[in-house]
Amino acid sequence: MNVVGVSACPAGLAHTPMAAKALEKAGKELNWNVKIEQQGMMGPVNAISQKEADAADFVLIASDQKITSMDRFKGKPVIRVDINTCIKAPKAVLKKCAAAIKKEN
Amino acid sequence: MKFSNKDVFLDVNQTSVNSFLKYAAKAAYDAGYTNDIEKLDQSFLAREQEFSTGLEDGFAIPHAKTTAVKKPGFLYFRLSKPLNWKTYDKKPVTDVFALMVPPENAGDKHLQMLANLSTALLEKDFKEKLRSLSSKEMIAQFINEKIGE
Repeated sequence: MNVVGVSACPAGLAHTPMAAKALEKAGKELNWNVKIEQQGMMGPVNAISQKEADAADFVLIASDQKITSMDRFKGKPVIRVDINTCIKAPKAVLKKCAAAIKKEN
Repeated sequence: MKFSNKDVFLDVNQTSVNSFLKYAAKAAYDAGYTNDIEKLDQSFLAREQEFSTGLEDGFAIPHAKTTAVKKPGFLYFRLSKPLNWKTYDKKPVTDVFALMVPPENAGDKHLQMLANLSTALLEKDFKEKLRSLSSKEMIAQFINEKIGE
C-alpha cells in the first residue's frame, strides 16, 4: 500500500510529530509506504509532493484542524481520523483505512 | 535550549490534574520560563480542556502556547502519587513533561527539540530508561542526549 497523509493538532507542537512518526513506524511494520506531512508550528515538515500524492492509494488526514494544500489530493480517497487515535493505534488505523478503500472500489 | 537539572522535579505530590498544572506553572516561574504564573496555568488548563494530553504507560504532556512564556522549553515531573489523568490506556499518570512555547518566533531549533521529545515518548526504551534514573543530573543528561541540540 502507498499512503500519504497530513498530521496537525491545535498547538502544532507535540501531537503533530507524534502522530506522523507513529503512522510511519506502523507503515514500516506492515511493509507499506507511508509518508505523513507535519503541519505544525514549524510549517510543513516532510512535505508531500504532487508526485507522491498521485502515487498514493489513499490519503490519511490525522487531524480535526484545517489542512492546507488539500488540492494536491484531488481525486484521491481522503480519510480523516482523530489524531489521538492515530498515536494510540496507528497500525489499526492504517489497516481500517485500507479495508474501507477496498470496499469502496 | 538546554534541558538542565533545574528543569527536573522529583517526588512531586499533587492530588489532581488541576492542582498539578498550577504547581507546574509555579515551577516554570521558578525555573525562569515565565513571569506570569496565572496566565501560564490558564494556558495549560485550556489545552487540557480541549483534549487531554494524557498518553499511555503513565505519561502526560500538558502544553502551553502563550505570550506568558518567556523562552521555549519543557519541565519534567516525576510524581510520588499517580494522578487520575485521562489517558489512552486508562492508566494513571506518574511522569509528566510540561511543554511551553510562545505563540510566535519560538525558533525552529527549539521546536525541533520539543518534537524530538514528543516522538521519544513513543519509544518504550526511552520511557523505561528515563524511569530507571534517579538523580536529576542523570535524568537531564539522558534527556539531552536523546533529543539532541
